[in-house]
Amino acid sequence: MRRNLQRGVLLSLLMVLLVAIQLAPSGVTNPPSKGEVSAPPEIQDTLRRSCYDCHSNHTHWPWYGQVAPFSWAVARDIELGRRQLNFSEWGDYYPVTRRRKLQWMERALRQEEMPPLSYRLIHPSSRLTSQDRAQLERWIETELVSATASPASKAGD
Amino acid sequence: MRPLQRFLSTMAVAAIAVARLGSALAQDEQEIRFENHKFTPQTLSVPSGQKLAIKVINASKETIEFESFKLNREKVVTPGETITVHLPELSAGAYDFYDDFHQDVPEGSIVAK
Repeated sequence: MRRNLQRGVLLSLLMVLLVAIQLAPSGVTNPPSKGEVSAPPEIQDTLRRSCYDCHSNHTHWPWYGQVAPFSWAVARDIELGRRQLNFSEWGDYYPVTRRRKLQWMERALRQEEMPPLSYRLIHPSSRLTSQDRAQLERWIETELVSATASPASKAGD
Repeated sequence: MRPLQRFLSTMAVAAIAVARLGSALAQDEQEIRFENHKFTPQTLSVPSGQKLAIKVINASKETIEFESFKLNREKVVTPGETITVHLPELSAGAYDFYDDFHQDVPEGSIVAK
């Protein structure tokens, strides 16, 4: 009897806590674009489908992304993803930065690191087919050639 | 277990431990500091053909990402945090590093000689 009462109190406290933490916002929004990446339509489609949720300012928030404490974890991942690569700030990148991002993208593609497994499991449509990978790799190669051809602009120069 | 087998397995474990200790001692530890929106030193000379451990100290108030494509390393370093980047034996040459979170931070270079 007493144990049941204790359990009930504990559950109620837990519920109150869960409701209370919903008041703490995740703090991540979709800010305006600073210069979207320019790419052929098929590449844009792939990027939007597989990369944009974490690497752009056009995140589609999943339902669990609205519920704390999951929202905090999602917000942290998106914030880090955007800082590492943001297709909505592509126009703001120095040529040298753009080249580095492209090189990392190419490596991540070849090593099949992106999209991460945890994301692919929740968003099966984000999986890249071998055709998607080949198209992306060709686009990256083209971009790398034009990035190398453009005048060097290096931080600190 | 027979005494000879026990002796041999003990020797094998000891040999592995000594080898690991030797490898750890052989690692040359260097230091890169991030402060006032730049890395110091900007050029770090290291011996080639030797394992390295580079301490990256973030003495600033901003979170950085210590990154090097050539070295295949990327690591977020929060303000006040110190991390250690372990590197394999490097061939002679220059390996650039930079802060991936702030593109205006001058890039640095690790020069293996």
